[in-house]
Amino acid sequence: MKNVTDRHRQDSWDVEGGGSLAVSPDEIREPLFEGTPGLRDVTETVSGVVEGKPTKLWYATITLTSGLAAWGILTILYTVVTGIGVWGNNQPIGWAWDITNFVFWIGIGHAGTLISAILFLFRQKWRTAINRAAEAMTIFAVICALIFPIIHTGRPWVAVYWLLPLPNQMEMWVNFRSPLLWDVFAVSTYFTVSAMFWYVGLVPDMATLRNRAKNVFVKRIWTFVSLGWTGANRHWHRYEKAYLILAGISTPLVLSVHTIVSFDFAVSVIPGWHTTIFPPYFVAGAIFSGFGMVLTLMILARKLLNLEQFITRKHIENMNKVLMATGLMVGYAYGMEFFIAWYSGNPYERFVFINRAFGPYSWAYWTMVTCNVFIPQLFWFKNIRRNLIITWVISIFVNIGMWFERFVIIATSLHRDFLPSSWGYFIPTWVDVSIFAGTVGLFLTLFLLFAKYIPVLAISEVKGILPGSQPSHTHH
Amino acid sequence: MAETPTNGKTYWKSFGELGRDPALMEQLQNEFPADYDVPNGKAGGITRRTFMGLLAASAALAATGCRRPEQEIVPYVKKPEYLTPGIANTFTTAFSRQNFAAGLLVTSREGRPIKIEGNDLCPVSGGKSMHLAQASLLSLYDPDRMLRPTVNNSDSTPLNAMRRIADAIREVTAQGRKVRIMVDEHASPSLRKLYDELAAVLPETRVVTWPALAAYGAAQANRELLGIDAVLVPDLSKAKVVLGVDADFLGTDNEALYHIRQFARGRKPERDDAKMNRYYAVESMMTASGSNADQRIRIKPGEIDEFLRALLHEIAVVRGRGGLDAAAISALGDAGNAQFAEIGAIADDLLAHPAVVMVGRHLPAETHALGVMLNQAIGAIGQGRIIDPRHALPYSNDKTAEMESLREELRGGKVGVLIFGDVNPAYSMPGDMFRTLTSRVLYRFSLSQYADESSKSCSIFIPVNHYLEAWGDAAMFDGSQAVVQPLIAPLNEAQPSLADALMGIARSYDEKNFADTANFYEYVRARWKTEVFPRIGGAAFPGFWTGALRTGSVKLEPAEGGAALRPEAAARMLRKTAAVPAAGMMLGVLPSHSLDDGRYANTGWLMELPDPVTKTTWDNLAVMSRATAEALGVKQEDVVEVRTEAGTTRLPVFVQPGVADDVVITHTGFGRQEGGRVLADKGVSVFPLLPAGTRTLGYLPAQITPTGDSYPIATTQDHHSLSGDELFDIDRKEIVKEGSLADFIADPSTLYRHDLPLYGADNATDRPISIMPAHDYSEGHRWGMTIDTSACVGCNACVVACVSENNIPMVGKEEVMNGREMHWIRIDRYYSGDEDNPDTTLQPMLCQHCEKAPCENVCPVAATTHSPEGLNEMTYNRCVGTRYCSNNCPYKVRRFNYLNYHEDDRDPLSLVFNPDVTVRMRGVMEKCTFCVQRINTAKYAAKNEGRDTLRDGEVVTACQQACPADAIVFGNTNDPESAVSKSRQSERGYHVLQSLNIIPSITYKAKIRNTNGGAA
Repeated sequence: MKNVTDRHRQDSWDVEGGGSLAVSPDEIREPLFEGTPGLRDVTETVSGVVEGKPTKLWYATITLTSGLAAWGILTILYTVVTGIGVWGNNQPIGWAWDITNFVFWIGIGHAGTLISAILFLFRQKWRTAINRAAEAMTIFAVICALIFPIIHTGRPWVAVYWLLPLPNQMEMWVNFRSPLLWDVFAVSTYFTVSAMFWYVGLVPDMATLRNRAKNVFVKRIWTFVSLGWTGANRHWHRYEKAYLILAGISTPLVLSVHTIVSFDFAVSVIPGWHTTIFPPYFVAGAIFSGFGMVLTLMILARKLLNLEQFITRKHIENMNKVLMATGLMVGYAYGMEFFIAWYSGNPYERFVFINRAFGPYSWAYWTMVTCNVFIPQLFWFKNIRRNLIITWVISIFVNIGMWFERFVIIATSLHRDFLPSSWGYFIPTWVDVSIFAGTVGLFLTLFLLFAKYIPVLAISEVKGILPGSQPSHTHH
Repeated sequence: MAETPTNGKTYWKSFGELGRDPALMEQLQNEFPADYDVPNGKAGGITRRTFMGLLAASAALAATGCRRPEQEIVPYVKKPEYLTPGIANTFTTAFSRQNFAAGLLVTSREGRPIKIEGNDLCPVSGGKSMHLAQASLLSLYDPDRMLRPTVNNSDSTPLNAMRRIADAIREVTAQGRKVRIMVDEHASPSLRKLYDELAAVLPETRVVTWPALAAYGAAQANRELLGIDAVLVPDLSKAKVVLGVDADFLGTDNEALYHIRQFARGRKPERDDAKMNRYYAVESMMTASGSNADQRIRIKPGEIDEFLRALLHEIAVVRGRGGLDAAAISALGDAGNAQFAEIGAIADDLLAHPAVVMVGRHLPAETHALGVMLNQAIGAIGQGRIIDPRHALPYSNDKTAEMESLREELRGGKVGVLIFGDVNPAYSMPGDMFRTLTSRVLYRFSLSQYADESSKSCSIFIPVNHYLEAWGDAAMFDGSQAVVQPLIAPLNEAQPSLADALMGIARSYDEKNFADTANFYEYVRARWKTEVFPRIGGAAFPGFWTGALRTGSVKLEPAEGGAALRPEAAARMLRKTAAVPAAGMMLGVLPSHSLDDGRYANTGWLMELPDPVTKTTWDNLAVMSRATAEALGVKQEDVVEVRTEAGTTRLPVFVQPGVADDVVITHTGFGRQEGGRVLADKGVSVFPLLPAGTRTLGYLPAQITPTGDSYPIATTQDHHSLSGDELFDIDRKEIVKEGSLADFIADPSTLYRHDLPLYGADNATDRPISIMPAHDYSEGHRWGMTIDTSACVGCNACVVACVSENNIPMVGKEEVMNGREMHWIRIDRYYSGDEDNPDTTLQPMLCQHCEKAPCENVCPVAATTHSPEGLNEMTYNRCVGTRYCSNNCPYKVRRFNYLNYHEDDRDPLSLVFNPDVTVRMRGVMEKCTFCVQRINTAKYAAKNEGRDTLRDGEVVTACQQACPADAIVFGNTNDPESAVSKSRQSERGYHVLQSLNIIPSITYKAKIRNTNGGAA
């Protein structure tokens, strides 16, 4: 395979040099930016967002989202004070929106990790324009996700520390056989590594902001958080190594976190949960949903923060391709679940899947299939892949579909399991809805804060793919 | 300080000191001046004396103000002989349900009763008790029971109230008006005697029995045909064939406890002992009993008499059996059996085996008469036979005449004083009869436990005691008599019992009345001394009395007496036409299984007890068949208007398989308005629909019209039949296994196919393919249970027993609708076959204590773990409430405290708690523990005797203890001789969901149906 870096370099030269060279198929590749931004343009555009005053739109939006978040927090407090009974959960549906939201948010995070770690290791240069935002999204999504394992417990005041293997005088340990405990480890590891990865990537950019800061107070903050970065060769060297190592650590997490989340279900005996297909199915779904959310946010951010130059239709199209690929995997999993349910000859399994598609929750099932499998098929058309509005709308469908996927797996499997005598139905209460809306508010609030106060593009990395950023090689 | 040291050197600290500055020197001398902080030099602040004074004052303040006043606590000077804190005592007493009494054994802890069980020395209860008796414990602690008497709505004292009543009696009798006391059906000879004496000592007084549920068809028929004015109690254990005609003898009948015990004896076939009775149910409604039928025939109410006439015709005329005379045969007419194909086979069966015909309590005398004639024809009646004429319910005679005469007196304005003796006619009288009848009564007084509808209409109300607070006695149908002894002093001090209140009124009228007996205790004791003791004999009465209290009941032989059918009466009865019209929409008014006539409506344990047939809670329903609902154009939860001649009401539709078409069944006991917080506005009352009269049960014509409204019904189980939805066509044979007796005897494997061995070779559980480590039970106990689904009739006794034993909260209608009921044991009900007349299979479902429990490995905090004795244990304090265990439970028997369900318990409800069982807070999972507290209590006792292992039968779980059918066996499976080990060897044994290989500790025994065609 041809060296990717070289290829881009060639693209850049082509643009600047006016295409004097013979054109090879590689070389007609679309550039990863629009127009001819210089190095300074990058710094100015990105830093400008941070240094400028927030717009009225920003204020209006964050008021709305933080209000939503505050409402969510109030309803969480109400739940903690009153009991899980304020939700719609019941016998037999012990988990409903709580764990659905948890898996949903954890899944959202996966795009960020995939973009920052795996695409980095594969030298996918197009990631540079979106990785910062995607990683931020990962962290915010994991924060939202982490709320649920704690508040879904009946007694969160003891759950927060009894779920951790803390030595104690009673020699009372956690149950290492429980997938829920594996979750605790998996998700906390995921959060820690993602946060570290993000922070390390931010250091050079924060140093840039430090250098540009006029306000002494602001300068102090940037000085503190940029860890004395000077841009020295040695710094760059260490930085690149550290980034590579963290990418290496993160890569297995892309697979492991959602694999372990899927174990919550796969390890159980409940038909519809007890399925070996779950780990890859969940990972594909997570990436699918993550890219859905990245698209939803980036298409907006690109417009509102004037980043059209750096986040191009090419980026959007690439993400749409990932979306379609993972969407097909998810669709395959849906089909395979049905096949196995029939092929296994297990009557309970068979019942659960027929019930999923034609039982009381069929509306949820077909919402899921429509959003996740049918609608993304539109991306077979290049025009649609590159159409921002249609893409944005489809990304919303993907978000909805993936939330329903988790709901379908959790609630429909539980509502009718082995003994027909204990079958039930779940209806969410206003508290269920409020808490989910609250996490959406929290997520968006955090993202808005990020978009305003932290460089939304990795300045240094974007510069790395711009023309003139690399030492020139006239030979190739 | 600055003195010159002896070595001649001067040490100094500062120039001032060195310079001997006088001011400084003075300051140094007074390093701690008394007025240091007082600039003006006056000696203030705190002196030693003030300090001491303050110290003493604050000590005194601390002693008095911030602590509770000290009180001397003196331990028992004389410790009650049998009362040790922490150790339970049991006392005998008896529970009466109308005329049916059965002995109880009540567990008491630190002086408060906490659990009710049957008295195993009582021949009627045999140690068993049903839901009503079990739940009567909760009503003892009911916070809604009234505390103070009221006179014209202001507080008074019992004595004053009684005096006022006596004054009123004097006043009205002087005017020539009468005094009438309305009381309920009862089984107490002492009460009977007291009532008779009251009539004698008070002027113009009569005590009239006027029960809420009045249906005297059986007594009338027996009186007419046999000369026995009473309800006879058959012994079903002697019957090989039972024909139940709209009879709920295993459900709502007063004698159900006894019937279930005797019936279930014939419902446990094993291959080497394949005796089994056969039960035909011919029903319009779907009764709890009919769910257990081997063959069920669904007929309309108007066809019941036709069916019985046809059967009688077949047996008495066609087969020439039955001793009817010519007049009777001609009166019977040519009741052909063309309509009922089954009659020939049923007649064969009835004639070939010891058999009995049971006729529903609510049916009229004409129908009962047909039953009596049939029983006579098949030889069921006679001393020592199934229906022994000596076994009559005490005081169960036909009360219609006395009720009618009181009705006439009331209507004529002849009654001046009407006293309600713990009855609630304002609620339970048909139509608006109460209002019209009592409007001309001068004074209405109430002696009742609750400020109920009737009490509210009275000028004087004296609250009376619960039976667990009062002395009394009871006679049983087999002649035995029991003492009702109080378990606790009245919770409300000085509150009289009903009998004491009546005696008090009589005494207030004239102090010479009841002068010999200071109270009802002495009255009962005196009666026992003069009437019971001489019949038993013995050394001295005090010893006999304490012996009677200890054993609970004494066996008295009932008076000899045969019964012969009176042929002339038979002809007369046969000439009467059926009371129920054959066509048109009929409304069936029947007793509620859990609330009975409404007196238990304030008992949460019963309100939330699922009806055995509909599995609904908290509401009254219009139960109808699918075809009826379709014809009316209504569906489940639609509200219909039910209109009879007397009135209209609105009820939600419940579509119930098995109900005859064109019938709507509804139950009494709901729709109470006054007297408590639990009962208020729960369902609607059906009494206003009844035509004025004295009958309150039975079928009557009605019009049903849809209203377009809907109303949510709280069911604990939806309609999911096993063969069920064709869409799904699921093989669920792993859940319930059933088969016919003939098939079972021929080849037991037709019932099931064990893919895996039930138990390993060593009766342990070492089986293949599991990644879970095996547990070692080589020593000590290994607890296990068997449940016989063939014997279980679904009576709910176990459910209430479990609630009582394990402090299980009631959650209310809303929460039941949310699917959050907390019962640890539930009776699962599955239908199969004909959707309009299905076969029912009942399956008590509780924690299976799986060997490889799916709940155990998923709990992240190890709150649910395996005990060394095979129990699946819940550690409540460790539980954080992830609910993962419940999700992963294939039986869904775990219960989560979604809210703090005990939070709203008002005093003194907390007294009902079993102190050996933790009361769970919200956020905690709970489930059946196999009554681990009982296991531990038994172990302490064994340890004191130096034993490590318990003997078989030393631990009895609450559900097992209560089960009148003896369907539950519990014990140590490590002991090959234990009852449970033997029971597990049954060829009917299976594990529910065996293919999951989680190895439950509960073995179910397959349901066997003795369908006709097999050996009886």
